[in-house]
Amino acid sequence: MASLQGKRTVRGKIRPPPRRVATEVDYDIHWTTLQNAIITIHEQKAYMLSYEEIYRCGYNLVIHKWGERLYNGVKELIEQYLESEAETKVVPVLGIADTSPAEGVQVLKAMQRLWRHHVTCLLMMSDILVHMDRNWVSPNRLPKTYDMGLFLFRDTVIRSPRYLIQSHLQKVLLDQITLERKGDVIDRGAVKSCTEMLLEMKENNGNDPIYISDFENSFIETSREFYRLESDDLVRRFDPPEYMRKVEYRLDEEQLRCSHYLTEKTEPKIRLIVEQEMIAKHMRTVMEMENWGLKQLLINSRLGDLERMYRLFSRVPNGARELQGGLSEYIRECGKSINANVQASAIDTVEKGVPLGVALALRWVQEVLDLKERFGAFLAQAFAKDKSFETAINSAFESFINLNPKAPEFMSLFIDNKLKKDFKGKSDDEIDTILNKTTTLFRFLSDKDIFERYYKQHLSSRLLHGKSLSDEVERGMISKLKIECGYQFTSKLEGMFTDMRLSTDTMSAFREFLENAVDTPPMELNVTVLTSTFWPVSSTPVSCNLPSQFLAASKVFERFYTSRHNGRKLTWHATMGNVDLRATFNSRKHELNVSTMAAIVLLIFNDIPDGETIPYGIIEQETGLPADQLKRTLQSVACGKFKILIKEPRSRDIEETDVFKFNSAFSEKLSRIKIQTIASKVESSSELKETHEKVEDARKHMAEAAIVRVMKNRKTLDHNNLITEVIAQLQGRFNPAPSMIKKRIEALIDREYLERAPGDRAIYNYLA
Amino acid sequence: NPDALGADLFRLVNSPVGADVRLIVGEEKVVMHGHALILQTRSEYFARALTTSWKEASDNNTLHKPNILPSIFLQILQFLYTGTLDLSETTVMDLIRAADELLLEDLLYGCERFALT
Repeated sequence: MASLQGKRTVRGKIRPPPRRVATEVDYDIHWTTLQNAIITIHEQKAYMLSYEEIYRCGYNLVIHKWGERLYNGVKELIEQYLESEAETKVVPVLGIADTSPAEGVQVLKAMQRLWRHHVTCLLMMSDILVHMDRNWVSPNRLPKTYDMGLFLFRDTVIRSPRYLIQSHLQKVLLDQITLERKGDVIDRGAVKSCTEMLLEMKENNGNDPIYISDFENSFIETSREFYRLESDDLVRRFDPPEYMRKVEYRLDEEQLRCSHYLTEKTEPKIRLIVEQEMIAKHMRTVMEMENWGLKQLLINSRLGDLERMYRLFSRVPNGARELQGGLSEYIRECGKSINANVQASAIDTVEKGVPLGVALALRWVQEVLDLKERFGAFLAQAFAKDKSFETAINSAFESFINLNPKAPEFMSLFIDNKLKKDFKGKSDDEIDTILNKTTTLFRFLSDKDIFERYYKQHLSSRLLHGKSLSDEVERGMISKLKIECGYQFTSKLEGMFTDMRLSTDTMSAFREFLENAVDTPPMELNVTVLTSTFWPVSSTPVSCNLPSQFLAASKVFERFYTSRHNGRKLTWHATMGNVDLRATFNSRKHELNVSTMAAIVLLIFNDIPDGETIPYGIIEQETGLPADQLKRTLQSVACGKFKILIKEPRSRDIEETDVFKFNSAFSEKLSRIKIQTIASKVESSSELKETHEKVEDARKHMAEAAIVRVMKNRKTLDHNNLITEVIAQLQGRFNPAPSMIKKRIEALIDREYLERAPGDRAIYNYLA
Repeated sequence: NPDALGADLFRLVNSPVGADVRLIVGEEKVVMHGHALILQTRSEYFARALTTSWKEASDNNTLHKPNILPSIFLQILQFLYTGTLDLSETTVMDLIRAADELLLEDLLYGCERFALT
């Protein structure tokens, strides 16, 4: 609000009171009073001044249009005062800063005293000049008394053109901080009061504190230099764990410094400096250091140090990625040696026989699981379950697991072993944990279709030979696979279970049927009916000449079965079954459980007198078994633990010149004896080749089916997009090569499912 | 009843009850009673004048106001305590001058509007 005079327009009876015209004498009277009052305030004797009187002087000067003279007069007075105070109180101590950094605090204290007193005086001057501030200063857009006083302090004291106060103040502040960084105890209060002072005064724009230009900028620069030197020194002198502890200590210290005696606004800036100088520039060195670098921390499971490394590295750009790179490298290295172990010993496997192969498979999976477990712990306890770390760890596992071509078979064997033996006596929770872990490894496999093939084989052997420990656990595993790969993947596996259940029902019906039947089979018969598409059995069974009683029994069942399921065709896979025989030896009788093939062989010896031999050639002729099957069978009954036949000459392997006779002197403690067929558990090379051919075949079908699905949907599509979509569809099962898909497309064009678009060979049309 | 507040506060104007400020007004030095809490809350002038810095405080909160007529000052007090005032043509010019000096912008505005109509 302006003073009254300018505004007044008065009508009617109301008249302004008569006012005497003010003269120069009036000005002098008022100004002298005010001037003396300001001097008194500076002398800290304001209690002697009547506020009302001093105020009225200011008021009178303003209403008599002497506002500008008053304002400038006050300004000049303050300026003179500050000038002389700086000269007498501050300048004399400046020299101390040059000679002793520690004593430099004297400069801060002198500055602090002057500043405090100045601010107190300014507040009182603002009190008495409030009328001027309102009615003259504001309308003229000038800084009010208080702000004007702050600017004066900035320009006459801090940035004095006559004395080097600014540079000394800055040097003392930086010296104090450096001293503290080196471990000295400093007067934080003195530093704080000076930074607060610098924050209080503003640049001419009235916004930015002079703290930035007069202190912070050089603070940041000197800090960068300090930490550059320090980190170079520390990284040379200390091992990574200790270095990281020191970095963390520095980060905390700088943060505390900002909150104690600088300002929160400096914190991100200084933090960036420490991060750049101490972390970003050295993280690779620290990680790769021989002695207690990342690798050693991992090997020794130093969770605390790893966690610190994670926390520190994550602060800087690319830090997390560097650390992930280091982890991946280590995982791949471990994986390489796990894989190499298997391959090196694989050479022995061929020589020493099959079971070692299984042991190797188990060891491989167990080692991978152990490694995974360790990294699971690192992820949870050191890397804060960080998703990007999880991804990096997983992809490292994925890459080395798929470098082992036997990985799918090994995993299936591992599960097979667990389901057959290892789970005995384990609680449901323990079993579930192991299966879950195995499933996470399965997730990394790129050739899931190959795994499926092995799993089917192993499952079929477990089911048909009754070797599975628990139906429930089997189904549990299948449902886990179903979650991973979907219904398609497991539908055949589930079909196998259905066949087993239906066969049980069928057998009880068969037994009822036999009670009323005229012709009963000469022996008890147990049949498992398998749906041929679900099971890994070849469509043509192994050829053999069944003994007459077997043949008769099978005919009875066939009659029973076809009467109930008209139109179904039964094919007998006699070689897959087993037989209980009652054998009479010299001293006692034994019940022998042998494979059907062994039974066929043994029954031949019923037809000849005791003690006579049968040459290999005759057995081969009589049984009609293929040579490799026959040899394995003979090995199991003549060279194994239980020698039912005696081979001449005695040796471990079967030759075509060997002759055999019944071992009538055979005797064992147990009356019931189970004779295992010597079976190759890890595939022989020819089997491996066969498996691969089958897998290739299946992949061709899957690829063609996917191509047709995509094209049926799109009708027209260019080559590259078709490849991309097909790969996306197949990835869950295996990783198809684009060249393979291309061949399938060509095959489909030949079979007229697709055509190349006329005019553009890179585009295909779907032919309905 | 919002009027009750004004009426109650009106009774405190120049009342010795609880008074802690002595106001010596006009050339004739009429003594009036004031309450620092109310005066300092309502007026920046009094807020500053009655701080501990000045002689007024060391004289037991005694403030001399020689250049305002006691009758006008009493009206100012009434305005400070109650926020209301009866204006008349005879006093309005003096009130304007006093309100200007004492930085009472509300009062100044009201008086000027009154003077112009």
